[in-house]
Amino acid sequence: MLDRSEILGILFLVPPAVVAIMVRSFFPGLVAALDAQTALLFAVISLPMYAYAAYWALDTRRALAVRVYRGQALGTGLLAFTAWFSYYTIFVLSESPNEQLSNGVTALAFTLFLLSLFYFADITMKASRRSDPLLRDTLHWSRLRILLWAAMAVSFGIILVPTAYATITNNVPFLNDIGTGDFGNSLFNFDFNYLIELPFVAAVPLAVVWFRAKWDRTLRRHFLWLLIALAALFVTTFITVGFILVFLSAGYFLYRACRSLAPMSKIAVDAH
Amino acid sequence: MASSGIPALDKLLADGYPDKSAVLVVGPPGIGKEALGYWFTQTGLVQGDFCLYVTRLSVRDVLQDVKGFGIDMDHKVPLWFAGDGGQLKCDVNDLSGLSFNIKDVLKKNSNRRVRVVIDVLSSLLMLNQPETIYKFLDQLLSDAKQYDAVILATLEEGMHKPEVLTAMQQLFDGVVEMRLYEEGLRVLPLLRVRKMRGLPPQPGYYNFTLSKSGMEINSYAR
Repeated sequence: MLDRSEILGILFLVPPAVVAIMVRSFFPGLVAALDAQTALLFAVISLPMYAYAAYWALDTRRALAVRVYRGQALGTGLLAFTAWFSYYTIFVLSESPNEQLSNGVTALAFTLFLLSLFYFADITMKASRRSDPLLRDTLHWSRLRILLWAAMAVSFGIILVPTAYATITNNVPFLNDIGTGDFGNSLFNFDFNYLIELPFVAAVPLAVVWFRAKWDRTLRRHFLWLLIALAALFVTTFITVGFILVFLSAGYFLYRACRSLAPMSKIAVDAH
Repeated sequence: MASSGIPALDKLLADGYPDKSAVLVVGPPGIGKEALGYWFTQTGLVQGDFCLYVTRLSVRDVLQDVKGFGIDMDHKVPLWFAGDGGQLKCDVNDLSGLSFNIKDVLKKNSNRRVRVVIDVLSSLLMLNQPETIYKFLDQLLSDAKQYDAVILATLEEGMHKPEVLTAMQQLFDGVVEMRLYEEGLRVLPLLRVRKMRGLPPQPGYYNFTLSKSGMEINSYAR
């Protein structure tokens, strides 16, 4: 039986999930593309922000000693880096004349982002269980995670292996299909458009943890910044005006999420 | 004095934790507070002290952590008062049972030194009113002083209100802080002995690193 927090956590995600599905259905492929100069300027501005966020998470990881919390910091850092890589490639390469490069790199970048998102969620679930006074296994995550990792391995395998093969053999029609997400084969269609988004399932147990962890102010603050960052990243995929600003804001929110991984203290003046 | 199991920390504390004392280790999750408890326990076992380890985690999880710090606890083990797999079952909802079992162990081993590591304070504070825990601890620590016991407890930072942390620190004879500090573009793990019975106040911070070869502590200079 689900407890109150588990039910609240699941209900909490219903409205954003409905919005996401509607946006995907009514505005498919609405991604802004950048010309070469803007792309370069965009990289110069956005990369330092995302890189700094990732650096901060990795530096916090270095300072920690317990494996599960080090993993959580690593997951957050990877998320910041792969978020920049995947969204940047989508913005910059979506109208690239070199379709082979564009579609292959975009598929790889987005796969890395989804994998790091799931890794982050998985390790965060472990860390939050450890800090739970009753050591609750939220939504049976310790077992569910094995099933999800296996499903993702199959799902990503179905996409990545043919993509790699098509890139090597220069199969442009197939690579174009990847770019549009429209395959003749229904298995590919289902996998590419739905199954590959399995990492987002992890949002459900994370939401439950957010409701449960009333005592853990650090974890809640970290989750809040991360949620805002992911929402901003999501918004960038369907707006064409001002998306650069929103993408930069997402970078800032990710930086705040990395900063809030652990409470930081100030050195007292009387120490020296 | 009871050796902490870490030569550099013993040096800092003038030979270790004071006899018949209760020491609190405060720090954020993941910084390595538990490692101080592992070394404290392992040294006690080697020296022939009776060791009790109180945790809400399972014994298997703790031993996995212990191995991660390169500590050998395969041959001599403490008495486990754990959430799962221990000789005694630790139920964080049962304060009186917790208190009774700890006192019982102390009574049965009154002819030798006892080392107790308590890794459940944060859970207790989350599940009960702080005032209830203050009273519980006050009673437990004063009872423990009738025996030759040294208690080392850990408390999570960032999970409790600042006033709760302050009140908890007042209940203990010694407080060791392990915290993350921000210095420019770096995150530094620093240690500070906030107070220790028998020692003058020590305002200085110390860099520390935890690895499989032990804990290194060096004076911190900005």
